[in-house]
Amino acid sequence: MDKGQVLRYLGCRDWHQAQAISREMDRLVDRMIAECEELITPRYVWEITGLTFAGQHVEAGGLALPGKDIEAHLQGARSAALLAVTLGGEVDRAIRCYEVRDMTRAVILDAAAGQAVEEACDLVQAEVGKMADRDGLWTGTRFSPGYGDFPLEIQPDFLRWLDAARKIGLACTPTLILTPRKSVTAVIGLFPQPVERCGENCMYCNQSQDCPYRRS
Amino acid sequence: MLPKLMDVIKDEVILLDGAMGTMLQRHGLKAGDLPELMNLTHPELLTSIHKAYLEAGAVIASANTFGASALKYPNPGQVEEVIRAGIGIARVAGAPWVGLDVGPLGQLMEPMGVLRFDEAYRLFAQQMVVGEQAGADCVLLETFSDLYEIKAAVLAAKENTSLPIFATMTYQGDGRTFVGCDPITATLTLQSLGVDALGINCSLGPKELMPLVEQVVRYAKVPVLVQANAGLPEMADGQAVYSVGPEEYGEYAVKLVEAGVGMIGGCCGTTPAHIAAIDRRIRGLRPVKPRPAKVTAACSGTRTVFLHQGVAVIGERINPTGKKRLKEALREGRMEYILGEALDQADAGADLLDVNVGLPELDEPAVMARVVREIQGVTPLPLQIDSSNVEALERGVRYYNGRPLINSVNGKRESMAAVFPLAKKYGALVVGLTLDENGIPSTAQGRLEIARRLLENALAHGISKEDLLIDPLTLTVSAQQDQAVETLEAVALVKRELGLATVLGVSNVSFGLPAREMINTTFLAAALGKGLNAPILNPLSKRYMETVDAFRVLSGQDRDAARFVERYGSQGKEPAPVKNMGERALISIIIQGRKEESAAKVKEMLETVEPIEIVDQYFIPALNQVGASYAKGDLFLPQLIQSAETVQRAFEVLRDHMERSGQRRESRGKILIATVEGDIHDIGKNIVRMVLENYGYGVIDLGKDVPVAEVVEAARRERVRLIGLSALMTTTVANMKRSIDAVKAAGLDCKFMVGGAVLSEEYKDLVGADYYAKDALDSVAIANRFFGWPE
Repeated sequence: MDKGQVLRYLGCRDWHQAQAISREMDRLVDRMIAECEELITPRYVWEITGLTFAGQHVEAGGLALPGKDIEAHLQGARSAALLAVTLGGEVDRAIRCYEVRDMTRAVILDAAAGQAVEEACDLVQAEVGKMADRDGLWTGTRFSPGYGDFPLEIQPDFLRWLDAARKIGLACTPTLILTPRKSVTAVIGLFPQPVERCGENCMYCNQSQDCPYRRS
Repeated sequence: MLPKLMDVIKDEVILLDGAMGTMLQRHGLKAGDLPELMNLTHPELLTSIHKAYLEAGAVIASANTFGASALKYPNPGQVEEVIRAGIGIARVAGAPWVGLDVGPLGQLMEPMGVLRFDEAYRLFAQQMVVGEQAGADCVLLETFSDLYEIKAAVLAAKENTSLPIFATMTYQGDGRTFVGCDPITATLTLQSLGVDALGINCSLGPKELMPLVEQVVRYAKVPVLVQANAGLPEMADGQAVYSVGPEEYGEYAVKLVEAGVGMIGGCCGTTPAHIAAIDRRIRGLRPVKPRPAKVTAACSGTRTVFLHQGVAVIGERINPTGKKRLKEALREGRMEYILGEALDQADAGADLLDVNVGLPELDEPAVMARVVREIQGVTPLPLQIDSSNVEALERGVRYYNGRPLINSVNGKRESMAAVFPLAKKYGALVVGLTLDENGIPSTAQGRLEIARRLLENALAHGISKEDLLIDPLTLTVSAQQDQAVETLEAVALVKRELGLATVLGVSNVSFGLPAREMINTTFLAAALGKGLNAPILNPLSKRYMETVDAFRVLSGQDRDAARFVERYGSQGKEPAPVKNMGERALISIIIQGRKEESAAKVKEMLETVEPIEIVDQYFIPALNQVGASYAKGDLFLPQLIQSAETVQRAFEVLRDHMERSGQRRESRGKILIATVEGDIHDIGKNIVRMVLENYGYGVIDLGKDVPVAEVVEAARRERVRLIGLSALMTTTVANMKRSIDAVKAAGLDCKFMVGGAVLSEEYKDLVGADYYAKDALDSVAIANRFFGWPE
């Protein structure tokens, strides 16, 4: 797991600050990363489907993907992969336990799990990439409900489209929170040529002005 | 007329149908579509699918009603319409018996999600009632992962219909469900709740399921049902392809029946051809008569603890009798204290936890329900629901996930009439105390007689012998010295004469004597020697646990002393004593976040320094310094938290001290905090609570996903003037506004501070709050300003 990224989630802003972390704290971060890896059971489901750009919004396999931003993101794509990833509920429970007795560990484990789900997504993305490669296509970056004007409200339909509750035990609350908590849904476009869209995820984020995690 | 389904099941292997979804997809059902709508749009297609399975030999048709809950069909009348149509179609297709198929609701139950037990029950009950009215012959609960959710479904079926219930769970390759339930735990819990058949469906093929099926068969008292997939799906051109063909599935079916399966069908990827192949193979086979292992077993949602063999420790600490801090936590609803007690006992090696929340001023049934739900959210240990209030017992066992113990029933007629039906209905084990209308017999023989009566009465209520445990009652040796041996003898007698497992609280024996642990430990060892199964004790006492661990070696329970060696093998190194560094040292302990040292340091300082001075002259200056460093970027979040925890632990010492010396705890002000309805992001709010408490504020924490009405009620009850609300999602900020509006509409004069990832000054105005706290330290600054304390 990328420890630097975990430290960043924990508010460690730069290399200097990382140097100032005590040896004990550094060891604790290592321990919690190891514990996180023990606790998670990454499960995922993805499916590639055709895209239709006609009408008011993009449609992926009969699922409407509303919003201008997702449309722009998928512009030029031949098809798209819809994916859902979850680390399972055990790490949620462990974080809850630590919140009761050892908040420091809770905070670190929470950050580690955040990074773990990103890395699980990267693996799925690589798998999608392999499939795309077979068809001579290139993958774009991941785009999730809640980015830009791609509404969170799509979450229930998105999960149902993937049959995610049955296949990987992933659901969402009526308030659109994914449960288990450490989970991601996303769309990846498959393009006929390589795509260069650096830092676009931050560009689409409505919190990016004062976000400590912003990528330059 | 057809014989009754349940009569047939005794004598014949019952063939169910195969996949419905697979068939519908072949006929144009698209991803994301609601399959049950096809009952209305394509009835002829469904009829033909049912007919194909019936012709293949299936005798129970599962109606196309799997997901027909109001969560997916919210329009009024829609659930009824879809279920009636589904049952009707299966009936018209000529099914001998029609099953109302009911799957999970598609949302996670609390604490993982926000779906509450009562809400799940209500949704299931609606499906069950309509299904029975529409003419279903049985309920097929299938593809469940969460034992808690399927318990809600079972109770909904039992309390609202008279239909037989068949219940299956879905396991992954690791032998557990998505939420961690194993087949033994599910089997023991479901059959104790009174389902008529149980087993496994979906996810894996028959070959992979075989070892899991064997676990189910070993414990099942009722027929075992298996509906496997046609192997593990492989993706080919974006389609799931199942590899086990009809003939191969048929071969496995024979093996399954020989292993003890009495009801068999198929799940994903199976077709009428599979069902026909099973039918050919199993025709004429008779079901194997169940020979379940006789066990005394308690379960949580994910774990089973056996109590009939060896020693299982029941942790006694969640019981307010004689515990000031716990009483206070219960009164103030400070769940984190209670959860801490649960986790500490689990770490110390408890196998089960006793939960008693009896305080005269509390609404015991309501508190019991809440505490049970909270504790089972953090620990996998089974619980013992302990109360003399029958309503509290019922609420506790109802909201419990798994198979609890009830503590207790006794030999009084009234007690047996009230408690045994509860144990039966909710499938609980029950602890019987050997006392009756005439009190506690003074001889072991007298207690045995009451135990015998308890057993007879339990059996008459339909409770199995294995599910009754006897507590022959420990008396105080300083008052009745001859009674300790009678109790010990009663343990042995109950075991020998009745074959029942025994429970015994050990701590009372030493009441009124010095060196109580010494007496208790010896009594414990003696009782274990007499065959005691489940001592109720304080697992945080090292001596007791050492005695238990040693006994487990001597009795052979701890095979090859593996656990003992693991725990005690590296003993000998004592932790270095904390150096005495003068009082300034407390400030550096806090700044450096050395949380193991602060409690000892404060204890030592209390000999010369007043508690209030420690707060004002040490805690607050140190925390301010930490806060400033954090703001400058010299510290990062975990370091800030660690300092806050260091103070938190020191504060515990202050609290104890003030209680013992009878000082009133003066807080800087009372603040109510909550994560709003629909939101389950708790960590930020919990950090805020800790930091506010560090600064001496009294914080009432309502928890997460707190209904709007509860915020209003608590604000009124607690007469607070400042309320902190947390929300992390744009979708839950709306509930923040609703909470604020409701408190204001109730005419309460409260100010609001709000926080959470998506919040901002702008959002604060939008929701009608007064202050925006960008982090935990900011919430302290706001509180200081509000209550008029210096920064």
